[in-house]
Amino acid sequence: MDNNDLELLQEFVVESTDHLSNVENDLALLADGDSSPDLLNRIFRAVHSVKGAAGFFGLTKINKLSHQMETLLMKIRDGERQTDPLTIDVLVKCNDKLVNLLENIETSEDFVIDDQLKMLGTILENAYSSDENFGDFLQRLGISSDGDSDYEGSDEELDEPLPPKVVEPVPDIMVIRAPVKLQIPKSINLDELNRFGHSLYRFSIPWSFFGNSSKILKTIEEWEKLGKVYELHIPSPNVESEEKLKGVSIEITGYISTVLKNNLISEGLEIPEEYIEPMDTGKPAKTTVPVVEKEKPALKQEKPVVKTKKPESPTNDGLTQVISEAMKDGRKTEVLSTDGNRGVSEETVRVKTSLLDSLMQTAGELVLARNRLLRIMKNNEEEVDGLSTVLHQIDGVTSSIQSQIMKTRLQPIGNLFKKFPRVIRELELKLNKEVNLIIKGKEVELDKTIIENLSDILTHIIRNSMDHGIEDPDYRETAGKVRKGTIILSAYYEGGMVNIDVEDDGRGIDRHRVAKKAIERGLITKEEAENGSDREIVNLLFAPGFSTAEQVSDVSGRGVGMDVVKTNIEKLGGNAEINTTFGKGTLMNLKLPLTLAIIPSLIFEVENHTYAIHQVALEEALRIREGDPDVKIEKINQNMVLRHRDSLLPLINLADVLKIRKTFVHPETGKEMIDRRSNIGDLRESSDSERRQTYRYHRVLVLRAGRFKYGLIVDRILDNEEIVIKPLSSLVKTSPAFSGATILGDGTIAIILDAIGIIQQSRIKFHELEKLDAHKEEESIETGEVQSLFFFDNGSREKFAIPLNLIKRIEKVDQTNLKIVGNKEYITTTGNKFVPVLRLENLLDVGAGDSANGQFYVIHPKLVRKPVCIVARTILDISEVRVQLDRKTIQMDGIVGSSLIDNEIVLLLNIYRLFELFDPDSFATTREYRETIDPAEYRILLVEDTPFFRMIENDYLVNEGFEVITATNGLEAIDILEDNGPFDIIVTDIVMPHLDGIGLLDRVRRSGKYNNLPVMAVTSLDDDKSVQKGIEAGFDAYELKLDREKLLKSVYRLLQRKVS
Amino acid sequence: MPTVEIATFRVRDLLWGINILQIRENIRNVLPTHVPLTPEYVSGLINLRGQIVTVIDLAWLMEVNSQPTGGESFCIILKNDYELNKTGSISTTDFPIVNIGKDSLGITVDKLEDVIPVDIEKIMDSPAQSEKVNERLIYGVVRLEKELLMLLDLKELLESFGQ
Repeated sequence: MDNNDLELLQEFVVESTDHLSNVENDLALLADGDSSPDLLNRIFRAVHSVKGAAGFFGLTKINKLSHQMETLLMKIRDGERQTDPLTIDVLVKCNDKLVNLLENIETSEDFVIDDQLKMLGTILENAYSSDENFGDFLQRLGISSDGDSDYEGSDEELDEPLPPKVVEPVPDIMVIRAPVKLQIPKSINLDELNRFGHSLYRFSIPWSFFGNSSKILKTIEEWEKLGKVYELHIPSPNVESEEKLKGVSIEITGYISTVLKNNLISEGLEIPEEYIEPMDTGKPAKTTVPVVEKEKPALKQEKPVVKTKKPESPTNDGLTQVISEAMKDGRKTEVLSTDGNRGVSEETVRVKTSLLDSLMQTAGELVLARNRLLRIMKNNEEEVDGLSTVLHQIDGVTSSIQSQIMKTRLQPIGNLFKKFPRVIRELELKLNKEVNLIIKGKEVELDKTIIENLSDILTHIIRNSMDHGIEDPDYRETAGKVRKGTIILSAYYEGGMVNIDVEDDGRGIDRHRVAKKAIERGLITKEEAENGSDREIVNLLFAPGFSTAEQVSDVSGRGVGMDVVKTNIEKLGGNAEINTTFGKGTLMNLKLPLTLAIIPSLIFEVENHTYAIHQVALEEALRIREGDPDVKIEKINQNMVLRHRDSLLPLINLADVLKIRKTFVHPETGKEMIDRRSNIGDLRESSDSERRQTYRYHRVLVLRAGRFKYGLIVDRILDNEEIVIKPLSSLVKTSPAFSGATILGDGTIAIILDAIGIIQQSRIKFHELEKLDAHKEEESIETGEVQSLFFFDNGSREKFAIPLNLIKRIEKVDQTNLKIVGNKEYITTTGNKFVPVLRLENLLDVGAGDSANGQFYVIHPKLVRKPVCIVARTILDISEVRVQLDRKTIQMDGIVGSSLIDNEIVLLLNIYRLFELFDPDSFATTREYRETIDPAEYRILLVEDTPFFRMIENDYLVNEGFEVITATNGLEAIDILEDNGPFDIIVTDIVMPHLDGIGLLDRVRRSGKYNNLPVMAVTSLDDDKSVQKGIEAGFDAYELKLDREKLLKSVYRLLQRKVS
Repeated sequence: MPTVEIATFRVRDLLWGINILQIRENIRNVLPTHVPLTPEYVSGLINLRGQIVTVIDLAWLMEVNSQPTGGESFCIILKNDYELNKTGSISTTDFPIVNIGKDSLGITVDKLEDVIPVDIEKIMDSPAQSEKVNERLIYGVVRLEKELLMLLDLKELLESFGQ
């Protein structure tokens, strides 16, 4: 039996024991005269579920006994019988027996339950008088020991020995008993079922449900339309009456395979759920694995195997089967089933969650009391002998109690994750999508309450991913993705929090659609939509009442939006965030606390008010002195910003946020005075001379709130303490900055602050600051682009560079290979060809190299139609450098610009321009187009993220006479298209951040407005496959970057086509 | 004749009362921890044996401007819903018990007076009389020998929060 089954069996034991103890109580109530339908139903249901589960595990004894009890109970419930004391007594005894069987689950098959069945049978046959007392009843039936229910197999041997052939009391036998699952008959082809996606169910329906045979047959006929029926067993009517006499109800049994899933089967077959039982069609081999795993190898050894016959006759339907493996040990007698006992009826106790909760709460109080005790006794430890030891002990024990209680609430998140493969499968069918689910971090543990609450949230997110994220397989293919989408569900610890990520490689979220909707809903203004960062816009999905699905689908649109997800996560003390790349996928990140009850926190003070903040939010604490010239506090858009480790840290003064009156102590009078300055860095501006003396220190707590980081100015840091969060009354929870309150060790109350809430309360516009940051970033891209460059000189002073990816090869040649024809030089190369030679000094205003003797190099460029090569005297370097391109200082036709690299001025060559200058005739090929197209009349939108290429392409087009507007990525292009349209053609790069070329094309095509706008791709990808992909994506043309001629020709051709 | 036990107290010089079943306990001289950004009628929070109780300044709500006469002050801690349920519900239509919610709430008063059994038929509608008192807070009045007892309408009090 594998662990899974063992777990299930354990679960069964625990659950059934629960049920039966309820039955006991309820029977007592019944005896007291309560015969409400509610009560009767409850008893019936409890026994019924024990029966059902026992059948599932092949526990025939439990199954049989509970079945009989159920029969009796059903009659009572349905009002066919009255309850009398004797009946109740019998039920109580039988219930006891059931409990006994459950307690000894492994050996339960060896137990004898004849007495109980006999009692029940007698009652069912009404073969007793209502005033007969229980003792007499037992005596009459010949049942001894006052109905004592502990008839174990071994005891029974002593009391009334059964024939020796039945029981096998062989001393040398080691018995391994396996409670066995129902075996699926061989006649059913499981592979076929699985192939058709059928599920298999076993049904067993009491005869009484149908009443007569013809009705049964009719029903079966109906069923055959839904699936296939196997092993149908219909007892003949005379059997029924016979059985009825014995008090055993008989059943119609069999199997049915159908596409109907668990939740629909009962409805589909039109019979109550309790008559149907799903079968596991996955691994039919599971059925005969013994309980004791470690004994498996022993079984394989060729030792004599003795099969014990069950002490009881087999069950009449023959559907259940117990495999008892016995084998010879030879040395000692050991009944292993007692060992198995430990595995199943393990010492677990079911405890009410409310009890755990209150225990948790109490432990919290204990921690508080401990903190307080330690604080009070801190200074008096020495005064009493042994006090300090006791205090330490109390300290330690309290912590351990707290952590252990906390652990009782922790559960692996795998328990929750395991349901998602099924969810995904169902959605796959429903949505016609193909998805691969990858689950990571099953072992991560979380508070039970959190896990329970997460279930709905995660289901919702995963549904969203499936519905809105993952595209149709066909669409995916055309978009160049694999047909099968991937959803990664992962859990991991980070920063004291549990992170749960749901990541898909679907279509991502369209910033513009979100923004549009948000404007429609009045959530943001148009300006905000334009200025907001991608993150800000996308995370608007969390705003209340937001749902981007234009049509509410029945999978994810249920009137609940992402706002519910967010609210629920926040209720759990966590946070949710969306990261998305349009066209690439979406990552939903949930951050959750490990537990809800106790949080480590930093205690600090502002103007004599005490506050606490979760340590998780705290990155570091800084100390700054007012007026310190080294402290660089700047003011940007009314906000204070601290230069801290090369980044700008927005500062928030807590006293301002909470509108607490700021005070300072007058240095001379010692009086407390009101501080009216708005900026702690304002000192220099202050005219009050005495204030200049007040060197006050401030503490700045660097807090992380989601992806924002800011400094919170406070007065004094007091302590680190573990605190218990207590909710705030709505009267007091007036600000998002407050997340609760707590009682500190000294008994004072501290308000717990929320790092994100503080931002909301402060109304600092983070996106303004962020833009500042973003701007900075862009600047650095603009100026600090990393490129692989080839550095060389021409034998003179100047140094040149060419992007390495434009070079086909470099050849070392000898002076002798240089031939002169007319005024042109040619190089003879290997392969009997000769190539014109370009000398830079002839085209550029640079010094001439000595053309005298020796060897030199020629550079063969890529992507030229007519071969030409450039002379280089010395190869200086090939390296990846950050190029800060200067286009102004040195201007020459034929260079892109200059740059200072390692203190040397390097000229970056525009080789295509050089070739044009070199051989004007062969490159001036756009003339023919210009007869019909006047470039000045056309506007081109050039989209390219790499500044270097952007400049060159821009130059090409502008020099040709076109009006060109540039954008740095697809999203910007869309914006420009909206605002500065119309354009006649878009020339775009493919690989770009935010929105790539294909994404841009997709948007343009779907916009309705620009359907006919030609879109041309330029890229440095020059393999055929990329070209093919580009064409397939629907670009009107596809050219390589930097090939001026082709680029221009393509533009002309597209314009011509447009004009005609 | 049905009577209801009224716990009486003074806010400044006026005599007020609430059903004694609403009261969990009375404590003296509380020093609530002020919470920023809260309305003025919220005095703050107190730590009552490990439980956090929100304290309301009744005088402010009643719009009495005079300063307290000095000396001691008292805080009446009301039963929250949970504690009320444990008491069992007592239905008196004439001066009903009010569920104040799941949070613990305390109201500050200047002085505690006796518990008086009041004949429910003697509860009269509030006459519009006092300028000092926010009339909405008066559920009804009872004419005592020496003065008028005003019954505090807790429901109205709760509703006045947030206005």
